[in-house]
Amino acid sequence: MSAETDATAAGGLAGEMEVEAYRRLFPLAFLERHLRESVRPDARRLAEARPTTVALGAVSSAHGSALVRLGDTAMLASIKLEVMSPSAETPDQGSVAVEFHMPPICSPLVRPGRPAEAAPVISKALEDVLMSSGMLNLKELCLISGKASWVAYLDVYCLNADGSLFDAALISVVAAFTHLEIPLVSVGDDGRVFTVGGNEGKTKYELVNREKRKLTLGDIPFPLTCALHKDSILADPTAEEESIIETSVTVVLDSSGRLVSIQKPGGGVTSMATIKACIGLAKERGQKLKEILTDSVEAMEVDQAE
Amino acid sequence: MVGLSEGEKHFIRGGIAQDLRADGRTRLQFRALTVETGIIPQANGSARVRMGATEVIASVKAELGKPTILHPDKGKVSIYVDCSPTAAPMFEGRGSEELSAELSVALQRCLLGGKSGAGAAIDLSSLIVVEGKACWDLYIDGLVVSSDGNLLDALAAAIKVALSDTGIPKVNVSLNNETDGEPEVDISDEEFLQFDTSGVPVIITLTKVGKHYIVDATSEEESQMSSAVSVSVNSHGQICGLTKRGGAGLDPSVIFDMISVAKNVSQRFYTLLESAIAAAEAAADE
Amino acid sequence: MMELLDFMLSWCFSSTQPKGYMLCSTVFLRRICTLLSVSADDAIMLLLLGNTEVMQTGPTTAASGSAYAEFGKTKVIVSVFGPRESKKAMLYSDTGRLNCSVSYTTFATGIRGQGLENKEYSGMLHKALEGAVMLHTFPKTTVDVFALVLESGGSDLPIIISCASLALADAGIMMYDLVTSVSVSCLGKNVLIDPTSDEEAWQDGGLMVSYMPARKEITQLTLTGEWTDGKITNAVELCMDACSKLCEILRERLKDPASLASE
Repeated sequence: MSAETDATAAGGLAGEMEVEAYRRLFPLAFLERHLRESVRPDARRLAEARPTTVALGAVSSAHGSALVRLGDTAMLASIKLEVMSPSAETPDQGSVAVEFHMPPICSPLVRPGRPAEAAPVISKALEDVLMSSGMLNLKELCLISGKASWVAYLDVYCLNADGSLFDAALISVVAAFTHLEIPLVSVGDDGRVFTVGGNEGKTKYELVNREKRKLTLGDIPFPLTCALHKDSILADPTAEEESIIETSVTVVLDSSGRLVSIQKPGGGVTSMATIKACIGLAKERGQKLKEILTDSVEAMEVDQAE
Repeated sequence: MVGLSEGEKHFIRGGIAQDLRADGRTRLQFRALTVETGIIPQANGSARVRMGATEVIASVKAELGKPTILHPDKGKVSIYVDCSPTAAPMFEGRGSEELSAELSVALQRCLLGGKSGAGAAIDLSSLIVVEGKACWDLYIDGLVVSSDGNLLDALAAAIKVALSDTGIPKVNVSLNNETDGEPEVDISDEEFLQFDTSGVPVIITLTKVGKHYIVDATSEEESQMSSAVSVSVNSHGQICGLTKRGGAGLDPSVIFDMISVAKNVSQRFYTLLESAIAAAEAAADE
Repeated sequence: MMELLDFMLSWCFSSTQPKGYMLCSTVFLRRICTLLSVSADDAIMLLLLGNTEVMQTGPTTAASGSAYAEFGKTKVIVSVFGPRESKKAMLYSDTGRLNCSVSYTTFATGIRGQGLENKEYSGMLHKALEGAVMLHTFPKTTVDVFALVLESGGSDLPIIISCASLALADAGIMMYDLVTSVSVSCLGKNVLIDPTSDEEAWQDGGLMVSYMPARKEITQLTLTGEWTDGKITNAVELCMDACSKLCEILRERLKDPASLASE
């Protein structure tokens, strides 16, 4: 109800106000006037995601890294591998430690010493999707069964927060894993495993993993968050839209089109038909993301060849 | 912070401009300095230094440790400073954390030298027991008991005295190849090795108030400073560390001038410190 | 000559070498330096040749102003927020506050989580900048300067300082002058400008200058290791000269933020 009175009050003033002021004072009315014209404040169509770019190998101090931009949202994922002894239950598996960071640079809402509330939520969601999607085969991270395996420290940093953080984070994670190059290791005299570095064949010790330099990724998960407002479905919302809308649905589909996860964090009620529409949008988006990812791999290979 | 009225501020600044400070000193004159050594029996070396109302304690503790892989022929030294909440009202709670960190970093910069060990106050290779296996780790702790300005100089002086007071137990090493290359060490309770502390520098802080700079500023005078430069000078007159504090920028030529003044003043401070140590020893002998 | 030096440095410091090489490399590096007699002037050339630098404004749109700097391997993002309301607990103040914080990503250094050792950087950044910012122009409020080091490749602090002053300018915070900062490492008889982390790890002494070129004032100066008087003067002058050159680059960037600098 209050939203409607807000809207009518705003309507009366609309003619006499600058657009920016109107946008800040009556954000809901501002958005709804756009939606009536089937267009978004940033001139996108409702079902259109923001331009997405993937740059592989953004950080040279990590074994695998990727910088993803989703409109103004920027996400940097990096993977660092360390050798450890595997747990007793899973002697032939490595492990992945996922952490999502929102440093104070990314948003005015985050301040040092007061971590963002959203960070642990996204961290957990990333871990769940990564583990359940079957993209990684943890056995590939094993070096010597029962003795040594890799632990992949996966750190995702949000460099600029402008909505759809989970989507950007998951794309960057997937991209970082495609970029990941496993360092060579060998076993020393004292039985300790150490990394060798680039000069193959020069060391006196035998290499353990000459063949396994890249992970074979299974079905890759691709996400799409849709904001739901009244009857409209807004794909890939910005931070501004996220702060106004009633609820959102995050769908993750894998590259074979199977549903990996679907999440609707409270808010207004939604019909089954809307959810189905969201899944449909996610399917299209998945195809696009797949192309973007393939392009970025090619772009990197061209870069390296030069 | 020090609460001063406009009149008091003017009085302090005016006094410094006329080379007669509020407590009767000239600009480059130190306060009375007293030194006590061996005040903490558990530590390998310790000292208390008083400069006017400023009082600091430094202690040195030596423990056997393992050298790092990058420097198998060197021991390790760590310096940490703590400010007692009783020293000043603003140190209560977490108020002193920033100051403690600032003092610790400034002392580390002045005493530990470059990464390769050049210009370090203590020759790290003298701390080695068995190369690559065992070395002495020195833990130098400073404590500010009472604060009335010029903490950094007082702490550096206390550390210098504490190090000269430090005796490191003699170690007998029996290399036993059967126990996996780990050397067995036997720490002697009676024999101690003395340190060569001639290389340990003193720190001279020149506080700039108005157009002039003063040594050994009280906290009232520090509240009027525009900036301060702390120079650490060793007994050969070489500079082995420098930190600038205070927000205002300084003209490069002023900084160079301050460095050369600090060098001259440091020689006087050395004599002052030595006579204070001699007095402390004489008092202990009685 | 420079190419040779570059090649040899990269060879003896490449992380792919086993530890044994790392140990002898300090001697090796000195030998290269004496061999080529790298003088102070050449060192500036090294800065321009060896390290590509990229500086640009505006990577973080959520902030009032932001800047990104890339010097060789060192990559830094700085965001500036405000002037905005001070924390509730803060007392009234008729001048503004400058709040600085520097953090490292977990993967910034070779060993995971090592960046936490540089806790004092926040305070040092504050000291380098506070003399330049006109605090009286935003009473009662706070300007937050947050820096994130994405990758640490040496000379971190000077790059953070220069990048932060660019971000402050981008945010439209009133300043007396841009603060730029440059550090040098002393290795044997030679002075290397803008040292990499490997050079820093073996340095005999280090010196960092933060400088306001237009006002000709030094806002921050730190020095470690043993230095003689003459050497300090030379090194400080070398840094100031480099700071002035860097400041020109920053000015260009502010005038034309769209273009990417790569010199």
